[in-house]
Amino acid sequence: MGGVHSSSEEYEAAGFARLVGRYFVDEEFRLQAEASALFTDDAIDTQPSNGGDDVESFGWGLRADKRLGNSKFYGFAKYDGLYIDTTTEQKTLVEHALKVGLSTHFGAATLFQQDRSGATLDQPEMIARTTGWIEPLD
Amino acid sequence: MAVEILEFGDLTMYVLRWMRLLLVAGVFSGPAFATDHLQDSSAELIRGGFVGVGAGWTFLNEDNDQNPNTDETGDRSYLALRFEGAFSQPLATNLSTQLDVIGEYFDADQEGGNGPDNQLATAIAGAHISARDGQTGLVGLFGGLGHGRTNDLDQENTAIWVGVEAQKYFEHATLYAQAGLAWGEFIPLVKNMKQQASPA
Repeated sequence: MGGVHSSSEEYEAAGFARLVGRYFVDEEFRLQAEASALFTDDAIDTQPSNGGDDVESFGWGLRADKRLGNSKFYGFAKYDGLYIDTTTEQKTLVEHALKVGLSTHFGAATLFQQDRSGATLDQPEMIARTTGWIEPLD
Repeated sequence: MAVEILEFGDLTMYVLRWMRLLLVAGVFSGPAFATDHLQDSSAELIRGGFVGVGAGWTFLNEDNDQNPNTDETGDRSYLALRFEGAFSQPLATNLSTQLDVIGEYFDADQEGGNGPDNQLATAIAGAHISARDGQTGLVGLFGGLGHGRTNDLDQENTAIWVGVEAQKYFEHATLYAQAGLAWGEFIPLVKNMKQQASPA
């Protein structure tokens, strides 16, 4: 992992990885499971006198999407877990989030077709969640 | 009616028998998978996307091993609201781009700890460019920007990330992997950039 150097500290980027598995029970019923991790050096108390605290963050999640009858709407239910360890700061945070919602899709005829030909990609949301919680953990 | 006491072997046999009956009845198979139709349609990339809204509940626990009396967040449960949207645009036969927008807002209700009631709001915007064969898989690059606010929304943090991603398609399943680098305000690089940009 490459670093960016300044006159006072060495700054390193955080490496992250995410793995997602999707299973289609049928064309309009998708199950998804995911796991992700982020590691960064000197993320908290970065002044040289403080030494800097490394942060490790792990995310995991489950999600189900299903078309509601013959309507244009899909219902979804998702669970997201997040674990943040500030290592030498000796603080940890665990988050469990349960959500349900509705979505509507356009372009693709089915969830399966969207997966193979349409808007199938997404973002590693745990980075933003870790970013949001890191300040209270300092 | 006499109550049967099942041993482990008997129970296993019952479960297997019921699973076989359910499979025969089609409970797990669901509506027919129109694979041929999908294979035809998946050969061509589609312009489209989705928007969604959701709500739920989040449970939060913070442990401070060094000094348990100084937890700022403590144990909390709070309302969570979510917005998500994505749009995919084909650029060529096997090349497409996608834009993502995700927003979440949590309204915390303090149940423990010594800190104030809290809110966390996160917003994510991202983009992808990828080459895809609808029969086999996808490879691409992606990037995103995430913004988070906490402590009555007074503290803000921003992260950016870039990475590579790939998908492998199976008959009824998709395996999706992403890896990359993130720079955030919690990482000194961005803090240093902001300090340099701020007037003395």
